[in-house]
Amino acid sequence: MEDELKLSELQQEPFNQAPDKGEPIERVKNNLYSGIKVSLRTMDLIILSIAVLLIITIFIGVFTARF
Amino acid sequence: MEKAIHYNPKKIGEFLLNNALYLILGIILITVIVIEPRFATLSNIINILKQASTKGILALGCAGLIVLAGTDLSIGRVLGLSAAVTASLVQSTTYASRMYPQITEPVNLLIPLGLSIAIAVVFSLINGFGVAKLHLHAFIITLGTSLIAYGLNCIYIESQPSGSAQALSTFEQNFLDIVNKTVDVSSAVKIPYVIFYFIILALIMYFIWNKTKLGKNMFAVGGNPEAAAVSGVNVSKTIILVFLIAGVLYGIAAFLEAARVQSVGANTGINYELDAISACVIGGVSFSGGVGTIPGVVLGSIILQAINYCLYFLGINAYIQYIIKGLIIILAVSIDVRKYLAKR
Repeated sequence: MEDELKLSELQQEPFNQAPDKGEPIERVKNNLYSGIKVSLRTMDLIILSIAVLLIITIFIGVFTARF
Repeated sequence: MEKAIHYNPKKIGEFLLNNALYLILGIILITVIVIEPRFATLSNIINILKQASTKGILALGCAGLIVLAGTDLSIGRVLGLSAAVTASLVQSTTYASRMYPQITEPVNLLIPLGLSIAIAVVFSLINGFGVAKLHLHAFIITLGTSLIAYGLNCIYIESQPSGSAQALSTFEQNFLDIVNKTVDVSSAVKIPYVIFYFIILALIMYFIWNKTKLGKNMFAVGGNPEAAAVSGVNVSKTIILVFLIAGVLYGIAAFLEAARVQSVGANTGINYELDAISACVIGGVSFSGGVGTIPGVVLGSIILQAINYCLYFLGINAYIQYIIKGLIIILAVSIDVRKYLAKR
């Protein structure tokens, strides 16, 4: 069982070359995020804005519930 | 001579951004405890864990699908259908308006449990087949099965002999005991059985994810399906098996949820998929695939339920609660995107 696991781990090492043609495989993943074209700085600003918006909303929620 | 401690502002900023969600959620919890000190009682904490348990089990199933870079929008409706079938079979035999008057003796609970799992597994296998073999996007196929499950659930509930669409209720006590019976640690600490089921299932899932070939294949397929395929991983089989495990977990969660809420109607399970997906995202399971841990999912489920409980406890308007939950999900996903961009 353990040997089998080790073997499967080895098999999962990403290959850079197709086994028969020797051509590089494009390693860009096709996932939900792969099309995102914003910079890290822009993302930081987006996260900060959402965080501020969340805190303000919670504050409004607590304020309206209490007063 | 004392050593000067050097803080790297960039690293601190990076840490704050990557952990912004946990910091804000921590602030919310502390604020609630400060405003309402009676929030931090043991009974409230046990209540939070009890409520987090069934949704946590759903999140454990859903997490595998998100690791595969997919998702499941049918969770809530499939849970509703499975719970309705379970509920119809465990109604008290002394209840006059029960769904099956011909059942005069309490049924063996393994039958509703088995049926609940079977129904959820059938839906999950359809989803898995669609994703693995037909290469449909998980959003589309699970949206379709979600509607089918909802339709079937409504038909089933409306087929009661009374002709009404009232919620199925009044269950046998032995069924309710499965979830609500407690292990009494002391007179003040009573831990419901459902929390133990959640812990056991989380341990099993931890084993599957980390110690089995299937778990390793799942991460390989989620991380890079092409590389996994050329490495000899059977991608279709892996996807279908992960969906199958998710189905089993949904079936168990449906069975437990029916006993927890004690009344199952057409709207049971509504929006549960959003809670399960949110718990996964909060717990660090990445929508880009190939990233996630079981402890993260468990923690995400508990944090999400704690926040729900906090907002309710503070008496925050229900509509504002929706906005807050939406913002929490968007924030969690934004942080996930940021991590992806930083890695790229």
